[in-house]
Amino acid sequence: MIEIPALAERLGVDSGRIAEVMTARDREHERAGPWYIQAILAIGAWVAGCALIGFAGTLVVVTFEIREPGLSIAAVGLIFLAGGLFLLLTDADGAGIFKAQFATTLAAAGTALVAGGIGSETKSLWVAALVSVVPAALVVWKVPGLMLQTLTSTLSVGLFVAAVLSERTYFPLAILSLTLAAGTALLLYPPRIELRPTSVALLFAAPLAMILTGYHWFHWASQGDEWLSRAIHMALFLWMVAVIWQGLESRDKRIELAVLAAIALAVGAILPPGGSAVLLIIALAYVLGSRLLAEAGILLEAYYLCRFYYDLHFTLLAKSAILTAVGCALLLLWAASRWIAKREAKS
Amino acid sequence: MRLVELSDLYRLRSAGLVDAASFPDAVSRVRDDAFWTVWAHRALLAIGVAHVLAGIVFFFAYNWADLPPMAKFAIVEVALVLTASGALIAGIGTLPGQALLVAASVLVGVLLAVVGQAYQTGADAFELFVAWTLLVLPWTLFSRSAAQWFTWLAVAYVAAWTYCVQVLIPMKWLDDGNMMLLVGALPAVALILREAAVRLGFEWMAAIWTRYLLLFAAMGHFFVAASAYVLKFHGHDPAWSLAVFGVALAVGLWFYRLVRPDFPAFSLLVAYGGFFLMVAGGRVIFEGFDREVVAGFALMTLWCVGIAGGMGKLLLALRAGNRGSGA
Repeated sequence: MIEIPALAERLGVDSGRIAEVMTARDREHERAGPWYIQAILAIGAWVAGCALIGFAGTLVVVTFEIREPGLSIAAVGLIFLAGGLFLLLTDADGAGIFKAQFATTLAAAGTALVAGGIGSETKSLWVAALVSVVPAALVVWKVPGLMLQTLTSTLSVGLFVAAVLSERTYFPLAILSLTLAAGTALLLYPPRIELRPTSVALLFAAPLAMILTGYHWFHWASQGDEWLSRAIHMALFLWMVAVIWQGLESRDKRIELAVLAAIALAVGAILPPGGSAVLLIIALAYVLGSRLLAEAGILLEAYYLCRFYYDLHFTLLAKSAILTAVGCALLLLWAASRWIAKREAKS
Repeated sequence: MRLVELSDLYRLRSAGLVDAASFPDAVSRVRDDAFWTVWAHRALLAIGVAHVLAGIVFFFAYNWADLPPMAKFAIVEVALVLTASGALIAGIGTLPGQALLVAASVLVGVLLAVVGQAYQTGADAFELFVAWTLLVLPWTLFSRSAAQWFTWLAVAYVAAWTYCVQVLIPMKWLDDGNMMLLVGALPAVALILREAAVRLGFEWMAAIWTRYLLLFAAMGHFFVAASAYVLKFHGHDPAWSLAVFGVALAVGLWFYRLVRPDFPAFSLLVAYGGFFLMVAGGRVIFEGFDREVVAGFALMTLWCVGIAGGMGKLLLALRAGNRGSGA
């Protein structure tokens, strides 16, 4: 925990400028509300967006009786998207919440319709995913606020995952692990442009796809793919260790960190990729000091343990051995870290 | 002076005051080290114990017919004695003691499953869960641990659910809608008891997550039951599910606004109310525009935008009011 003057000294910038940015952030936070109000509004926008998609679909198919509606739906989507973005970009003083909600709904539904329409015309989820990236990038670039970016980037990442799953891509697990890597990199070394919603969507794509769908969805994935995915996760873990390492000054602490990292790497090698992906999110929450990420990671971990029971890749005996070994390694890690903490407290 | 938070750092990064390379260093300065050290210890212990316990449960779920019944009993009972006595030795008030007690409680369920297998009791699943609930209750009563209470509540919930599905519904004493209300009453009652316990000074129950989890679970059940009635989901959903949802919502809003002010809990209740209005509006709109489905969808869009916007406006106004009054 640090106050503005100390941080300013550390960063070598004027504390007045830091205070100015933080005051602006507080004002915006006051206007937009905390994350749970934003979440309620985002869910509301998606529900309304679904109704709007229904409207577009029935308009094209029922009213205009178009038999192959792909491009027509994309055209309607483009109009919605343009309308939504226009309303959001011309709302300079952040006027009404109803107008903002309507504009967000229009833009989100428009993105889904454009991607879905062109995807159905070309009969390719990959095309749909690629098309959805264009409005998502436009939103990142032009639209202030995080809600619409959350909706459009989640849609893009969701379509990407669906494409990986349904089109039986080579190395599906490794590809999904790369999205986890991208999310981690964007949160640890953020670019100047605000990308947090996109980063979080990328971060959760792999564990959600691997756990919620279950491994039978990845039945074509090879052993090599699984190991590649594990290797990516372990490399990511080592990266986070390196980040902590840089902040440590004493040699003893670095040795302790190395021991802890070795145990954690062994856990990464034993666990299937879905499990290690969840543990990575928990580790990232610890490095960043993010309670929301930590809570989401713990919930995913609980779900993972239940879901793993139905994994058809291993026998129950093998699953039991994996979980017991990982549990023992984590308890060893716990005991080691407790011992280190006590020793530090004494000295 | 206000402390710098993680979200401030992202904003400072956007303003160009922190460069990407020094961002992790800035994060390490902003992070509350004391809190995260304690958190990491607890998380490691909890996740480690959860993995070992799951491993044990998976082992017994494996086809272990080759093991003689005595060996099965011996393995589970030895583990049970070790964890229970470990909890006593470590002390129920300590974190390891509480983790061991949760482990012992899970092993009681495993032991009951072994009894069922070895003696072919022919018992239904609900009997196992009811027995499990009752056997673990004394430990729970003396545990002074929120984690133990939630473990017990989860077992009791499954017992209630399986009893409804295996007995009450087949006997036609209950239908799906009433079942949702009945099992939803369990977290609701637990929430009431939790609030009373905190009021009486039971500090170990005061962790705020216990409130949110129980509130989310209880209102979720009542919301599903009321929505199913409105949408005629099963055709025989009870009308009083509407009343239960309405009363629970009204009492919750009053309680978390005026008696024990808690804005996140209040917001959760407003969200349940708002989403229920969306469901109810959907039913009215699509019945009213039976043949005009395009107009129905258009109106539904506006209705949902209006409800979501209304929820946002209400919550932001109340929050601003809270700040103004210093609440």
